[in-house]
Amino acid sequence: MLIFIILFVIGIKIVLAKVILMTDEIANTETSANVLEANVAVLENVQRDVIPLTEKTVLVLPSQNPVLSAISELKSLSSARGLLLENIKVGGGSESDTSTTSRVEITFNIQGSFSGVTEYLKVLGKITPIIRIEKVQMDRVGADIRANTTISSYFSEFPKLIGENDKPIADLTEEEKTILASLSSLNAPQTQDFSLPLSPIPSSRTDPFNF
Amino acid sequence: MINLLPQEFLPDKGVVKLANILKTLSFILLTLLILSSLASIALLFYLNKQLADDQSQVERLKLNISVLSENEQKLFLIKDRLAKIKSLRKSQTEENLAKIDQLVSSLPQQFIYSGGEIDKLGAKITGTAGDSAALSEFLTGVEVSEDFKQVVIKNLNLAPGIGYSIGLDLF
Repeated sequence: MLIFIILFVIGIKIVLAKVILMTDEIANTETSANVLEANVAVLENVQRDVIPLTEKTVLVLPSQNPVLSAISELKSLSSARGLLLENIKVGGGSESDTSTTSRVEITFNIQGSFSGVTEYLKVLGKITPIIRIEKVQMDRVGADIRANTTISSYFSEFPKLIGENDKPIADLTEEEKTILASLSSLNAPQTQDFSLPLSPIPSSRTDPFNF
Repeated sequence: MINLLPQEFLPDKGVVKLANILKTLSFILLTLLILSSLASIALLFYLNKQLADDQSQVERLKLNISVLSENEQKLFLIKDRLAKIKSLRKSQTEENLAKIDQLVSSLPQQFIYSGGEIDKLGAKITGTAGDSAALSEFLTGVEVSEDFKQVVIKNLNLAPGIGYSIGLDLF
């Protein structure tokens, strides 16, 4: 009988240990499954409304110095409005307030009627690549106004790392959706020399944007 | 049945009773051991199956995600761009430019805008008023405008034949 009791106790101990191990493993697997399920839902949700705007966001903030594209925009906007654009100078690139974004300064003179010049300067805020007006010095030249303008154009490298696929993927926040919606109203540049950093099958998850 | 053993060899009744109890207990324990073994096997089998199901579900979801990996990269890229664009969206200079545009568009006819400077801190504006009425109208317009919290008159000159030239710093 003692043998039965010993066998019983040993058996219960082994089975309990195994059950605890398996229930832990099941709990972990279920957690992973829940995260992955949520990730799949997020990725399917963004398919229709968000993903088509990827190119737009890259046009607004490209990965390479967009100075040529910006100057091209300045020229086409001025010629469309009959304004005189001259004395374009490009400053050196520098890091902006956020360390991952670089800034290039462009100065130019734009001349025309006051309303034409101010309308031109306002439109600069609605073009791609993104431009920020830093300073405007206005002087009267006869009947016209000449605005010596300093603008900044920005670019930023594409991200190098992407999260592991068992970590939750965050959907866009309301604020991000608002910004994205406002970007869709920006004018596309006349020249588009960009490409998305994507391949159909990424070779590695640690640096999927590096080719 | 006749018991031929001498009475003195017969076991004590207490011992017989104890033996019976132990026998019954052994039987019960054996049954319990067999039943619990069966239950344990069933439980382990059930848990193993559940684990296998969960693992296959995880694999299926991982496969789904790998199919959607391009979406994932694009979403990640969009979030990265938006985070950076957010800090670059509108500059104070552009807001000040809009205010100056508003101010200049409502200037009196006798006031000629000569120029100025606009940056993120504020604006400078210079102009010439043909007469004191135009100057007064201009200053009243600046005063009633709620676009600027502070207005500093930097210079005010009267040139005969031209009028009043004035320079303001607006913040």
